[in-house]
Amino acid sequence: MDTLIKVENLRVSYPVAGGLFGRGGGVVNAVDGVSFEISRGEIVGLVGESGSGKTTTGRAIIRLAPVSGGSIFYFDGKNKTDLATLSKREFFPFRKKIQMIFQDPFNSLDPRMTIFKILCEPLDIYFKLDKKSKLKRAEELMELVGLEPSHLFRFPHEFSGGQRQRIGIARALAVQPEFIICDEPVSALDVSVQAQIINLISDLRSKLNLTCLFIAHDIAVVEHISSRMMVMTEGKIVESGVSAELCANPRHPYTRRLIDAVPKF
Amino acid sequence: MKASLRAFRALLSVVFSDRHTGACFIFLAILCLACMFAEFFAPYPFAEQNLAIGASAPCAEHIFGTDILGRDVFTRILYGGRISFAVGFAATAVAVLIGACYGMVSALSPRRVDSAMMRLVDIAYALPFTILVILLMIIFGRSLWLIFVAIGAVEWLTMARIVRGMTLDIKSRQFVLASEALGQGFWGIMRLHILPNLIGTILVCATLTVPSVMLLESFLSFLGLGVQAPLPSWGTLVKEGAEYMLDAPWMLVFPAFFFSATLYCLNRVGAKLSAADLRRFSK
Ligand SMILES: Nc1ncnc2c1ncn2[C@@H]1O[C@H](COP(=O)(O)OP(=O)(O)OP(=O)(O)O)[C@@H](O)[C@H]1O
Ligand SMILES: [Mg+2]
Repeated sequence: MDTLIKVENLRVSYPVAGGLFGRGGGVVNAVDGVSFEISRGEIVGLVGESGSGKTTTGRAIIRLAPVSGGSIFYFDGKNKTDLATLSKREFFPFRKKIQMIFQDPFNSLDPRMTIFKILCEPLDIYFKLDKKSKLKRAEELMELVGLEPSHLFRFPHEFSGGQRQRIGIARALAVQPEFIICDEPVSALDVSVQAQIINLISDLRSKLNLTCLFIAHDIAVVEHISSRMMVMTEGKIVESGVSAELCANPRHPYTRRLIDAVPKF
Repeated sequence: MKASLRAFRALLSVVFSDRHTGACFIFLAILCLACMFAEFFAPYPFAEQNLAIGASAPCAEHIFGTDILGRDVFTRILYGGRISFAVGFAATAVAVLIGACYGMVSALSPRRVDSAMMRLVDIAYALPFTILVILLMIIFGRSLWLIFVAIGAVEWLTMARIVRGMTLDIKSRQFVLASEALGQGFWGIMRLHILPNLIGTILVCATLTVPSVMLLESFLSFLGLGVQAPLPSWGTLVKEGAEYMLDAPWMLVFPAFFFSATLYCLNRVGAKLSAADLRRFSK
């Protein structure tokens, strides 16, 4: 399998304010030496409880969190680039390749923009389109994520949580990325809607040949969608492997705890 | 253009959502227009004296009476209102411009710069600004422009704090992160997300700044440092009225009534707007 992204010993640390005048504070290692590889076309899950550093890992890959150590290799044909060493300008082309779906659908859409404007933002950055083709493209994206194209001129607050998450997905797909980081895309949603969004992501992945890092705190969700998964706690990956095997046969006590935490009916 | 029209319509719908605030708004609108076109509405020129009648009580020719120089009080209220409103709006514009820019720059700067800029505001807050303004007036003389600038310079501080807080809040929202992840640059994020989400707050602050500016102007005029005679402002009218309070109470009562009513209405409208869901301004 050809590797798309290879993370080695990634570290992200934030200073913690302490002492008078903010001096004498230590650092918190949100991500503490994480390594993994994702192959092209694969969905890899990343589970862990709240505060374990999942979001920070995802954000570090697309430079929304400051990388303080390690490397992130991105494979593009024969080229191999270490994303961690790029300047802001050098990183720009990778923004088109790597996109993120955010955790909170109520916070990730600008309340003052219509859906059309929201979808136009990525289109305006990368594609020089006239108004008509932008509209056409936006309608295509709406259909792609299972929304009514005629709702393009509504505002985000007129949609439900699940629909908003679909809009967030459409926005990420607008730039035609090859790698998508889904940061707990369903944890803010009703259980009944969760399955729909997960199936949508799964369908889109095979349709558009995407690679996906799927973050969740619910191990059952990750098991369902991903072929491989990694278990993270306190900034470290403690166990990883093929999803089904790992869930059937957890070795690390923390993984066992996560599995036990899944409600059974 | 279409968006600002929509915002204006939404604004009106908020103001008129209860009768009381609606009435306040209408009162303000009428008074503002009457003051702006004082030449048409005022029965006399503002400086026309009639020493023969002196301070006379309200009658058919002079519905609010005349002052000691025989000048029509109603006329002077309209012209005085023009100055007071002008100072109110112009100084507010200055305050909003300086305050909003300062607050925004502070919020978007690195942490150290931000806290340095905010400490500066704290220090400026602690200065006895009224005295400073009075000193400025004494040094540079009493010009209308100086009043605008001086008052604006005092009022921007609050604005700066509010806008900074709001910008920090918007900046941390996920849609700004998403925009960054899409490859949007700094100015794009400003134009598309930060500014549009700030406008409502700035607008509300501005409506609440106007009355406090007008009050400050009247205070300066009351001290004799404001608008120069024979040009009236509500502050000078109230001051003159207070001097002859016992002999000619109408000289105090009518200007004071219009002034207080205006301040009340401005505050009422501002409070209503700030209580409203600000999201409505964009729809
Ligand atoms: N900007 C920041 N400044 C300081 N500390 C941060 C920052 N972002 C995250 N952290 C810290 O890093 C740790 C990991 O946070 P992260 O958001 O990655 O957790 P998470 O696994 O995504 O949790 P959740 O499931 O709640 O989303 C937390 O302890 C958090 O306090
Ligand atoms: Mg998270």
